[in-house]
Amino acid sequence: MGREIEAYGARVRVRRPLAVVGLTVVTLGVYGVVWYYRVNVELRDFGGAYRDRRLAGSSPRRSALAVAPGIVLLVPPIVSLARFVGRVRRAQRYGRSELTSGWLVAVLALALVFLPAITGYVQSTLNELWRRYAAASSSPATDTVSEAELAAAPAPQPGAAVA
Amino acid sequence: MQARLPRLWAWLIGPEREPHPPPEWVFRPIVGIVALLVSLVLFMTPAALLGFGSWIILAVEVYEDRRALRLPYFWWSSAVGTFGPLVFLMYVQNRRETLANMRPQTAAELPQAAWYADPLGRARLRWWDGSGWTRDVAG
Repeated sequence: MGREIEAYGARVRVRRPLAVVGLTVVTLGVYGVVWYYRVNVELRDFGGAYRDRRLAGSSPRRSALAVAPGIVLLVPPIVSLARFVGRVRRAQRYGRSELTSGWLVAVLALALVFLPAITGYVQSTLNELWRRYAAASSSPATDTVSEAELAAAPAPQPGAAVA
Repeated sequence: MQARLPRLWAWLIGPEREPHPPPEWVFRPIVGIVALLVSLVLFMTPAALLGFGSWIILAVEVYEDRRALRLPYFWWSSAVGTFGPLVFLMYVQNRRETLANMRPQTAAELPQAAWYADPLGRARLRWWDGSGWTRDVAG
């Protein structure tokens, strides 16, 4: 599901937010956990490309375990979700795109009926981020990169120089 | 079938129209606080249903604002319409942060000229000249 693109060297996926919510509801939350794991993998790879230790050092497997079996303990999923939103916002700061609201995620989590909507909302904001990279790398040729493509690419982070 | 659905949707909602961005003062916290107080007062009167009026108005303003900013409008306008002025206050805060994050960097904020990982994904490294990406690549 969705369209795979390359964002700063990391393989990420643009998904339809309402489809993500629908699949989460239909599978009684199972797809939500799969989505949570996959998005955490994307954020880790994206952080690795930017040499961001906090993003690259995250453990998607542990995050998924915190929301699936860990839900019986109540605290692990809350901590994991809070950290997850922090990582999403960190990635969005690199791409200079819209920031995910931790407050809105908290409201959706507290109103338990809207819990699946978190996946759709976060995916929607991540799509905005990934599309910025997709727009910058849409042309297949390496040596004919246009001025518009160069201008659309997000600026590097000050500490990420390689040589 | 796939071609019919967009046509049906266009017939239902009409032609695409230009966004009408609300004035900037709408997105001050005081507007959300006043809307919250007004709806709370109305909820305590026999005309309680009117208390939802401010929720709908705020949701429409958020919808128009996000259309004007070319950002996805479904989630925030639905959330404000569902949860009311409290979520509108969250939107105001998030909007300020987002606009600050999306504004172009000044020359002083830009990183120094150096080789960085290629954001276009075509080469391993691309040269950043201090103000923008160049065509020079390596690896």
